[in-house]
Amino acid sequence: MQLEELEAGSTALVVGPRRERRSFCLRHLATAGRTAVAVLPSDPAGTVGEYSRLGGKAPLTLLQGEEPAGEPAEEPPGVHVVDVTADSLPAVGEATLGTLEADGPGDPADRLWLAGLSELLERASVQQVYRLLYILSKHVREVDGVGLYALDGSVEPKTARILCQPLDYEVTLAPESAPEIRTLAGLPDDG
Amino acid sequence: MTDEQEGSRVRVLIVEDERSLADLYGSWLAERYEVETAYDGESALAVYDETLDVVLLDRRLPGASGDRVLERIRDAGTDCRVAMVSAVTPDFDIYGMGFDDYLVKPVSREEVLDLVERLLRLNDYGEGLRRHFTLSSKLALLQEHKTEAELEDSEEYAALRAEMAELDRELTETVGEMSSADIGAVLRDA
Repeated sequence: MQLEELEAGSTALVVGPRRERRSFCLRHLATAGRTAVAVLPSDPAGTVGEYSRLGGKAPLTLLQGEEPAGEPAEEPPGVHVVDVTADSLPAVGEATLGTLEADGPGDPADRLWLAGLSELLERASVQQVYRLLYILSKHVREVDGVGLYALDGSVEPKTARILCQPLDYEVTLAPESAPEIRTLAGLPDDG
Repeated sequence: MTDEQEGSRVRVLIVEDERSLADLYGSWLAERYEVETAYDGESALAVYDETLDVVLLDRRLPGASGDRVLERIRDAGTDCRVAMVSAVTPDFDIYGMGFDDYLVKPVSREEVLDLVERLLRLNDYGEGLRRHFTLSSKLALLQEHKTEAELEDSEEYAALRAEMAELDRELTETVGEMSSADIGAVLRDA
């Protein structure tokens, strides 16, 4: 299946090289109409710059670990930075959901990029991470948003297959190739 | 959410050294739940077992402190939900403590009943998510070893997916009532 963009109300596991993952996810983040949220990006300063370069107009919230590789010198207009204890999956989950809901029920964030999924899998069980994706995906669908969960190639295929189950798409990226987007069975009542 | 879980009555342990207060909490909860009471930390640990669903725990206790009792309960690795009900105003030392909720005294009957209801709802949601993960693991395993045609023809595979759909509907009803703090508690359990 070839799609340029994922439709509103959908969630996807995004697999591929770091650069391609980042580019794909930021491109979607930049289409936010209300608020975009990036969770644990490895390069916060670069994330802000590329979001802007891609035409992102909506406010951007960055949830970053305490010692990010490239911390923005200051918060640019429209960018909100939230420090989170990246070692604790529950803390990341609480902060992410809290951020998604921060604007109130009528105006929740509509683009989510969980950039640090592979790192979370190093620190937490597969079941914990599964729960996090399930809960976030429920929220994203409810607000007609897009949720992207980025995974590097270090994760076992079996783990990736389990994490895919409650999601709508698996996106496989490769250098200089169009994204390969596979429709997943998803949750049965998601249609 | 149910007051009855899988046919057996929900068990609540109240740990409070002010006997009149412990008994008052007990009278509020006894109409709905099976209530145990302990007036110090050592007694609480003696009463505690894996059949308890909820513990309401004071922090300042003679003998083992409430914080110590909490550690021992968490070390036991059961699904029991624990709320601190204490006159101690929360400070930074709560970081890393494994409680699910915290009420500062004095507390009303309604607050205590709502607290226990919420903790039981967390239990239901956590159990639902555990089943969901199990079903997903099975589906992933079949998808790895069977062809799409084999999956389409399989009644068992269809049954697994139907079970997942039903479970998902149940979880959707619950998740709308949960806060981000609730989500943190659910994520800590897995």
